Amino acid sequence: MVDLHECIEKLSSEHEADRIYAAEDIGYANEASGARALLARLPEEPSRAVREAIFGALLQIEDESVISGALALLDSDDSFLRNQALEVLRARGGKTLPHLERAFAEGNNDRRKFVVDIAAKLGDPGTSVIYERALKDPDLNVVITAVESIGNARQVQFRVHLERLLSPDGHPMLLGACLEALAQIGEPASVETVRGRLGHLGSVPGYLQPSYLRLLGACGCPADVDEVASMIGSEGVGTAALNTLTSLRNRYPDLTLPERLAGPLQDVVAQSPSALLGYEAVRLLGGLLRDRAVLDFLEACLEHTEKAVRIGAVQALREGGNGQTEAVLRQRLAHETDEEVLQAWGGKITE
Amino acid sequence: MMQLSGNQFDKLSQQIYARLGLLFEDKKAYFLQKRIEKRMGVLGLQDPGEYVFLLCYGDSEGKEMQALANLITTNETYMFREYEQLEAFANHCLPEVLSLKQSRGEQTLRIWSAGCSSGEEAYTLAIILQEVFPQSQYWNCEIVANDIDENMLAQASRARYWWRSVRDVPAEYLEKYFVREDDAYTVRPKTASLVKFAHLNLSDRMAMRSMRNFDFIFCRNVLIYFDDRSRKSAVDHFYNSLNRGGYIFLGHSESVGRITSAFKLKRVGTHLVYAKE
Repeated sequence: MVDLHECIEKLSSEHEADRIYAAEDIGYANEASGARALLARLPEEPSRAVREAIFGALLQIEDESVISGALALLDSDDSFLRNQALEVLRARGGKTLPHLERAFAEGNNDRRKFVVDIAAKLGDPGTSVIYERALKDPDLNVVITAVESIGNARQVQFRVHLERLLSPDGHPMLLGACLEALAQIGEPASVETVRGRLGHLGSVPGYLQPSYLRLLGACGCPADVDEVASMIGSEGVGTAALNTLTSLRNRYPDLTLPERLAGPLQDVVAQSPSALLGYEAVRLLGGLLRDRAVLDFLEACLEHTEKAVRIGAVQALREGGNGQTEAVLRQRLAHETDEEVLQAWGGKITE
Repeated sequence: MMQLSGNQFDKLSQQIYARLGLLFEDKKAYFLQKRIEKRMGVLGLQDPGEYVFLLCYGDSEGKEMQALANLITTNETYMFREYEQLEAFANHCLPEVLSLKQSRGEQTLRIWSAGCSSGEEAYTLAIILQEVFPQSQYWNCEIVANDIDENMLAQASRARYWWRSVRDVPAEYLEKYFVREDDAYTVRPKTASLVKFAHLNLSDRMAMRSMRNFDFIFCRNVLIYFDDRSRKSAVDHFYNSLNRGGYIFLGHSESVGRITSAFKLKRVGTHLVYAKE
């Protein structure tokens, strides 16, 4: 049995270890008076280790005073205290909602932004009220935070709200956040709405194109492939276009890629320093195996120095190939020793 | 066969790093993809985007992350595992602590191998200690090795290993510190006697409080199997168990700094280590 009074006294002990143990025991006691003592100790506690133990204890105490105490800490100049307070509020779940709504209504810009951050982490249906208010907030940062949170939490009911925020003269950061959030929500109808409000992919400013591409990857359809493919060689968005084609192909496995992609995709494999990009490009080339030059290229990739490219080539040839490509794989992989490459091929080589 | 897009891989690897401390570079995309395919199969998911969302935003209790962690971590243990970290211990941290102790006229050194499994790490530390500090035989040196699994402790106490466990032991150490009988390698008694095995549950806070006055704590690739709160609690106890000036070592893919800010990050050679100041 924990003697709470004794533990509270030990919070002021000169020995750091005693203070840590006292905080831990107060947490296990789970009483309101313990929470108040811990919160009171925080501002004067010099040891980082003890402060962490105090927050660990606060997480275990179920009293409402922990929530109000944590909210008060959001105004602290100490980022450690703010971050830990956010964690406590997040952990408290739906119980914090009435407190958060009040804090949003009464707080300054920073406080309102923190409240939206916490709401996002709660994932509780009751957070809608906070999002609705935040989307109309006079402070742009609060609105953007709300948009990002809505996307992260896939709050489908706010899709139309986000689409209404799309205007060609809108703030670039807000527009980008809206496109990203709509991509995360993943509703196909968003694509036409975005086109109607902002225009086609090629006509929007370059800084919006990566987000627009992500939207097409998540919500687009086979008819969008040409529009995406036209961006593969473009400076700054080539990677995003590659990712979008990969996403579209995952969503539509029978997707037909335009033949003009063969050259740019081979360039990616040859020039990209990223193993992952090379892998993606090789996998996409598997959709162009009807072109003999692509087949030759993929066969050559089986001896590429980058393992990820070799794996991608094996998968591409297996997926899109026939008996002839299987024979090529068998011959080319006879000297392959890497387990993952062999695993991609489907087992060990047997003669 | 599903394929992670670059975006999806980035999101997943960031999430895994943030929550498990495991870093997946581009080169490991295939490795990760195969494990995710397995999880998607179990969960009945078709679209990798759905899995990304589940892991990033729909896993508040961390159950899916734990299931994935079980697939992407290997619990294989062997001697001299994570060699660079042991080099930092042997070449920098241990001499520093010994020198400090000698200057204060102290002759005790305590090392804790927490979550020792079948004992490979504890005996590795015993070998390093004897190599770096031959005078250890005149000191009161102790390596305390704990595990929750009694069967593992019994196995560890036998100090008898197969080739797979000793494959990374330098040849001269294999000769010097082991007796070979057929295919088995047994740690020589003089080295083995430095290690004391005992049962301990790292989540038992009262038992953890009894672990005091250590100069080094090794808890490598153990906490990855804990949830956030238990991990934090264990590391808080490690902090109290460590003497000032002592060092804590987690696995190379686990970061003390992600769990607590109580320890001081120090650079020794090319390695980063955490010390209690």
